[in-house]
Amino acid sequence: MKKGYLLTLGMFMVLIIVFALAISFNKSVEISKDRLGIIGISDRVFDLSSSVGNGLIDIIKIYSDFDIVIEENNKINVSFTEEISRVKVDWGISLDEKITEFKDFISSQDKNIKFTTESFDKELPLEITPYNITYSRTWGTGHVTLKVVPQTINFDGFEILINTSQEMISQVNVPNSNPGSFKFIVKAVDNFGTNIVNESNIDPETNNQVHVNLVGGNQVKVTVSNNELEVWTNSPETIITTIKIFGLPVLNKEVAVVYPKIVYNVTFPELNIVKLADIQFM
Amino acid sequence: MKHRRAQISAFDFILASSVSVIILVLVAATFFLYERKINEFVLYNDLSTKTFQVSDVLIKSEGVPSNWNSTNVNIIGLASEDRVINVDKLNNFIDLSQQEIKDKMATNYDIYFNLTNITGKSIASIGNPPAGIRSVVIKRYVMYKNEEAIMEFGLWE
Amino acid sequence: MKKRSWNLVYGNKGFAFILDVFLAILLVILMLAASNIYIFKNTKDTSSNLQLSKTGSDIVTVLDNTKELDTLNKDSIEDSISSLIPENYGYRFNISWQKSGEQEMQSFEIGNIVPNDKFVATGKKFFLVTNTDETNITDYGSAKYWIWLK
Repeated sequence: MKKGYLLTLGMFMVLIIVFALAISFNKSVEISKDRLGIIGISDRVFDLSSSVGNGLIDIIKIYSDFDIVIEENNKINVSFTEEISRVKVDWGISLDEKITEFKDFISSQDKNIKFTTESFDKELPLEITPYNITYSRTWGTGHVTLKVVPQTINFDGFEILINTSQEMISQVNVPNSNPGSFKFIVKAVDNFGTNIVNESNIDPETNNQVHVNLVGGNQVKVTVSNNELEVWTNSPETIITTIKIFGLPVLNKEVAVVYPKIVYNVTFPELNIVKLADIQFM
Repeated sequence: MKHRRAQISAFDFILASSVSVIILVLVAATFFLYERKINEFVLYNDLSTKTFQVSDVLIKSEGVPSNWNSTNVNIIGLASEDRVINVDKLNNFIDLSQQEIKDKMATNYDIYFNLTNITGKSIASIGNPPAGIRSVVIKRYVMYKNEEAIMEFGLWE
Repeated sequence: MKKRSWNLVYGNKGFAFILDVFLAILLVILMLAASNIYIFKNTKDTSSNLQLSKTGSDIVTVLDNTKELDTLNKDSIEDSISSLIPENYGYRFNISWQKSGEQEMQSFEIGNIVPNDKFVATGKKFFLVTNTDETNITDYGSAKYWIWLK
């Protein structure tokens, strides 16, 4: 009797190994199905997230008179063009309305998308990644200031175009300029044929200024000091400014201008997926 | 006459050992069949996942750097925006050798790439249609020069 | 008559009884069958499901990029979809939109009834409709799709 049992037991143990192999194969199949499933779900999340982001960008571009251009060749240039007014309330009236409408529409169509901010901040700031440069605006009584603050000066210079349109330029003067190797270019144009270019190599850590004086006494003051750029105006009329940060080095990362204050989540809690997104102009 | 003593009964021995051998052969064959199946599955799965992921990068990403060319490319992307193939990037891609493409895609599999318009007319292609023991080819819908186009992308060995 | 006894260690007994042999064989067959069920039930290629998912995502993106969705025209969108989608794929699209400044939602659907006995890939994209010179947004839209193998 004993030997018969031994035979059966021996065979059984060998077969356990075969069965274990089959189970392990089954587990591999399940894991690979999950992996392919995750790739499929990520498509859904990407489509939702990118379409919301693109919608917000389109709204901002259409209703804020704001344009961002990123040029990439041997070096990178990033330009911000906008029409600014010293009256904060006048600026971007329709923008808030449209963003709110869009957010309400999204929320009614898809419960998986949630916004974490209520409105668009007129003062921004925007961030140029991966360079850690911020672009912002502030309004004070009777004036508006655009500001560019780099974490470090690792680019060739600033180029600022001031288009005063209907406001005639009376003169451009340079009250302060300290020599260095950083390029500081200011171009002033109006609708009356004025086209003045002031180009100099400065030390950006010291105080350097170019004043664009307007007929009637108003001004546009362009200042580079402490490595920061400020464009200040008290003009009651809309002025078109283009600020270009040029000569940024090419890094092995995508260049983007990010507005970090409107953040939205795409969540699929049943799948344990949360995607955080902000607005990126690329 | 004295009977000689045997160690085992001949009939029992033949029966038991035949059965044992048959069972062992069956089990061994099954074991090797499973092992082959598992290997095949793992390889095919790797190929499949890689093909889908690389095709995604090609048609959704600008690449790194975003203005890459054949001398400075780190990651190959053909898009100027999501699922819009850029003419210059496509031309740069065609100029790369198969080995360069394989290196940038971090794969040893052979590459098959074919961009056609909706009617099937070829716009650009790299590599030969798969002719090996294992292949995955997928179809992606994209835009090229403002027209709808189809990108076939495959990895094979 | 006395039965002759073989002069073996265990007498008339062999190393294995037929019953043991039968039990062993039965166990072998059962275990192999169970193993085979595990191995062979999972041979179906799941990457075809992922291809469905990618096709749906691609097509809705192409419709968006060509501004076809902006037309909000059922026939035009249906023609575009059928020119792109493979013949062996079934599909359904739902296009919904809301005019800027209004509450009312409008929608239409294109395609066949979504089956419930097979894998169906699904997804959604949002889009904006602008006026001709792109200075004003007129509608907010969403395009949802379901795609399956016929």
